[in-house]
Amino acid sequence: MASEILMPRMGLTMETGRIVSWLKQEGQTVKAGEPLLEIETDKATVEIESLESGMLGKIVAGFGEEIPVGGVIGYLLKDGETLAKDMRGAIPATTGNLPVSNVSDTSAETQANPAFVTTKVKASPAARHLAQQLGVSLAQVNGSGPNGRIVAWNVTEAAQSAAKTHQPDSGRISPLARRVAADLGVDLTLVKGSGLRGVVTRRDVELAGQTPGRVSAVETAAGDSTKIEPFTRIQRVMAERMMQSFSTAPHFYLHVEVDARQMVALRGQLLPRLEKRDSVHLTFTDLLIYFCARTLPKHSLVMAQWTTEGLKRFSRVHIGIAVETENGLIVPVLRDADKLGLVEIARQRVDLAERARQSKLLPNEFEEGVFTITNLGMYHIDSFDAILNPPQAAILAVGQIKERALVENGQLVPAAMVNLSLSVDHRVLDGARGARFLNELVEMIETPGLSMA
Amino acid sequence: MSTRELTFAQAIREALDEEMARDERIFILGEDVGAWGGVFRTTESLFQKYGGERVIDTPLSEEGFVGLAVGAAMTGMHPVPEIMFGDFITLAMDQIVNQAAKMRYMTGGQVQVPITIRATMGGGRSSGAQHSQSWHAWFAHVPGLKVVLPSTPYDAKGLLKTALREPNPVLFFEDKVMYHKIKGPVPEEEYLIPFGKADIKREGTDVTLVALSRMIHPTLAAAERLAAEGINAEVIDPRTLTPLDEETLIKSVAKTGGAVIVDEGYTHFGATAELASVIAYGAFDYLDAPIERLGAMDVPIPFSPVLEFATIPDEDKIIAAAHRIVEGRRR
Amino acid sequence: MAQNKSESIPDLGRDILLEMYRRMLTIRVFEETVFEVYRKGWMPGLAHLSDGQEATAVGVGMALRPDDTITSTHRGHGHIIAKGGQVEPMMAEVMGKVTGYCRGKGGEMHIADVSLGILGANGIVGGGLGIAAGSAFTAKREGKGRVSVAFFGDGAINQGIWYETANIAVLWKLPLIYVCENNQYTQFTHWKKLVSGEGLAARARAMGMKGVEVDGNDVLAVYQAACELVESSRKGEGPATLVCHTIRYGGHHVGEPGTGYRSKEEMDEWKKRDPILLFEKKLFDQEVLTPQDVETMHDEVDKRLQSSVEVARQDPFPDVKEVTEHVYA
Repeated sequence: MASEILMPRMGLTMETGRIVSWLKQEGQTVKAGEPLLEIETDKATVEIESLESGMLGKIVAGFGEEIPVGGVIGYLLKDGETLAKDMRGAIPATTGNLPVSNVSDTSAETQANPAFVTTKVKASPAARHLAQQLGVSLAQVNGSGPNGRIVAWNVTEAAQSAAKTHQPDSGRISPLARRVAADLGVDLTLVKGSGLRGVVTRRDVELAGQTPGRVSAVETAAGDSTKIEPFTRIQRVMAERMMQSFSTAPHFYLHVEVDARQMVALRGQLLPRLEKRDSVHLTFTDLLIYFCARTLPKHSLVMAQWTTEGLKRFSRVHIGIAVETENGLIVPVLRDADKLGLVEIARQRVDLAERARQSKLLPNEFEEGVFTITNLGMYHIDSFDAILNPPQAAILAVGQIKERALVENGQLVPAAMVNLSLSVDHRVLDGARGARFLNELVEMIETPGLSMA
Repeated sequence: MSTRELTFAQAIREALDEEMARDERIFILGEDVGAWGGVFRTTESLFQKYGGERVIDTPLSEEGFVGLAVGAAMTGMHPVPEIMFGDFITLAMDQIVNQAAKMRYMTGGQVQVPITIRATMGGGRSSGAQHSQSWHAWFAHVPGLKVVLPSTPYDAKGLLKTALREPNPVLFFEDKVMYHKIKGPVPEEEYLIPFGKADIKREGTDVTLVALSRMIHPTLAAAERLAAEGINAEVIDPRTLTPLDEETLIKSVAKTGGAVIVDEGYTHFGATAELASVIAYGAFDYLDAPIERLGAMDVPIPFSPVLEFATIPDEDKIIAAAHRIVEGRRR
Repeated sequence: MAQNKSESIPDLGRDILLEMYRRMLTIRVFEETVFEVYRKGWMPGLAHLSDGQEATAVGVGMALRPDDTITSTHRGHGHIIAKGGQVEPMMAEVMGKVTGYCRGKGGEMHIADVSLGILGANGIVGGGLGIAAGSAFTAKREGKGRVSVAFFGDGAINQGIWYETANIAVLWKLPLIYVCENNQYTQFTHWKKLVSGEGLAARARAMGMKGVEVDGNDVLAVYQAACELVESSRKGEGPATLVCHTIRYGGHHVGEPGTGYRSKEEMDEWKKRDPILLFEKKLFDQEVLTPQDVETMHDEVDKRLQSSVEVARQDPFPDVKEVTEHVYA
């Protein structure tokens, strides 16, 4: 019996996923662990790997379709398996718009496999032809011909009833396509959709973007204030979160000026050696992550989260690092940071930041952070107050390290100083508790050796 | 235009008469075609009218007199040899296939071979396995020949007249049962029917029924019965296999989505196979059901009527095939 | 054995005698040239040569009018030259060139020139018999006294088509002359093992037509016999059969040496009666030809054949687009 391919749960909060593209065609074989399709969750586009090896027997859900987690999106066949009669659904071949790398000749594969049986849904050539023309998914059609074959009339009927429940145009452009269109400056009103029911997919936009002469709505909108850029899904979500965080959690802020001389010296010492020995480029952020990771366990309330039921406590130190990307702020999470050495922290930070910029983070790399560090020092910001990253209760905002005047032993000395600001959810932490944490952190920054104790 | 009712045999006789009067190179030869007037009466009174030089009784020598006819055609005559029972044509195969069909080509165009070979076809008369066969498919398979199968008196006369003016070898198949059983209107005025032009004998929208020679008649009857059920069938008569009017067949099936092909030749590798292939290729995207083929059963044709009729396509079989095609469709 | 022999030269006139000799010589040199051409790989397919059978071809060929027709066999080069065919378009056809008699579509076994009354050599044994009967039928209808000659070999003696057409030809009094070139071997088997009774001439007589046998290597004997039969046919006396006994020097086709089933002694005997040498001797004796004439003629014929090869080799092949032409008129 063929095994079902289900919409996977790719994140704690994921309820549905939208199919962006299948990376294999019906009839192609796939190995366990090999990428099988791309889906879009509310956070990012994610590649889904096949759990088992076999042949992609049937695609049930196609471009743009939103399927709940656990829903059937396809069937996988192993040697000798066949599809049951009631396994429906095949996407009519729209090879014209599929990228070349995804379309391959399956005939050699099908002939080589003696157990191969036809995996396409039974539909007459006329039905297929019509389905393509009318944008009807054969997966959605019940056949009334012999042995359940779909005949042309079934397709016409399906198209007519679909027309009655026709969705407004704004639903007919996949979110990913919108984002790509914005990136490439492609006018979406000029792009023809090749996905299911004429949905405009990312590929359509990419192809359209390659065609010269396409006027970009975004470019001509420069200076034209009446042009509105539609939000990408991610943008919209982020905006909503900010609103939610800022308006729900009562923020208060703790500020300190920190003597960074020891930290600078330490970095100066370690930088060339770690570069040589471990090929990592050590940054101040790495050091701060290290120090925070060793401070937080002693102040576990800082890691707690306010819920309507009560205070949620966490023990694992997953620290979020704010990363600036083209699409806005993304906060990948470095897991169990208290168990990582500097080199490992540096490595992971670099990896996470890069993948964040490429939208290639896995869902568990966003989630379960208990504390966030955000550093605008590279932008020469002296200090700032960050908005809490919900549902977290604390976020550390780091300014630039700068030579400032310090009074030491009654003398005015120039010293590398850095401003830290800790934003705190007052429902979780009061000022004192927040201050105690910040204090201990500052001590560690000023005397780095304390982190080893 | 005035018409009269003629039988199939009478229409053929009339075509022969008119063309022989028009062209003195035409002469008929065969067994009992002359004094007797032909065993099916298709050459009745032509001997009396044109004399023994032009309507010649031959010995039983199919190979001999067909071979002679080929030579006569190559040297300026237009002979019309008659093969009394199409089954006997096997005796003349070399003359038709290796000589007549190829002489023009092999001589690089130096000769023409205007020979019209009239042969009978069809069973249903308890004539047994060696007197009931239909061999049109064999000759359609030979480059250099043309193959004609009329289904009505009107078509027979128009097509035979064309054959008698054709500068190439023509195999003209006449169904024996139709000779005296099928009547139809035939104009008095002169008319010709060109080769390579199928005839839509009934227009329809739901399924295409293609039938050769006598099979047109049970097919038309089946179409009437289907109409009563709300299935509107289109009936097409190809009339010539070589040259074949592919366009009409393909257009029809593109419209209706399905085809039943009916023929008295054997099913296995018969004419229905080529017609089905032409349709499958040309109307591929419009096929709503697999193409149905109804030929003679692949057994030697039996003598006893209950057995014989089981081997020949009939109305009921045609209707059942049409049903299979429209199954699942809204009526 | 031969029934009609001629010891002296009939009063045919020098021109005709020389033309006879020239045609026999042309056939011989043509066949020898084709042998070379074949061995050099300058022609495709097979070559079926008739050297040794010149007297039969020329003896009959020269008894015919230009509008008389002949049909020939797969071994037909001799018949074609005897009826007036030209070596140049023959050589081109043999090589498959567009300048050949049949535009390269017929080939060495199927040469035809309808304008000369040559209705084609035929690859089917007996394949020309039906066609020849038809041509005779048309000739009778035309009423101009022309005749139709069907050349065939000992192999065709047993083909049904001979009996069917012979029967019809006698019944309908067709001006049809059957010329059986009995070169003793039906491919690799001696004819006596394959033909029952007394042979074809006897069968012809049994069918109701004249059946004559003649020494096929004596061109004048063949000529005389042919003239008689042709004349009576022209007059409407019906068909006749002429059986000429001869030998082919080569094998069934080039590459088959012809020695597996024929002994050297047998062949030597036949070579003593080489038709060209026989005729040459007669012509010398009667002072119609001198050895000088012979040498000159040999030179001419040789040159002509060599030139035909050179020209044919340069000639183009047919354009591939022609492949679908001439299927139908």
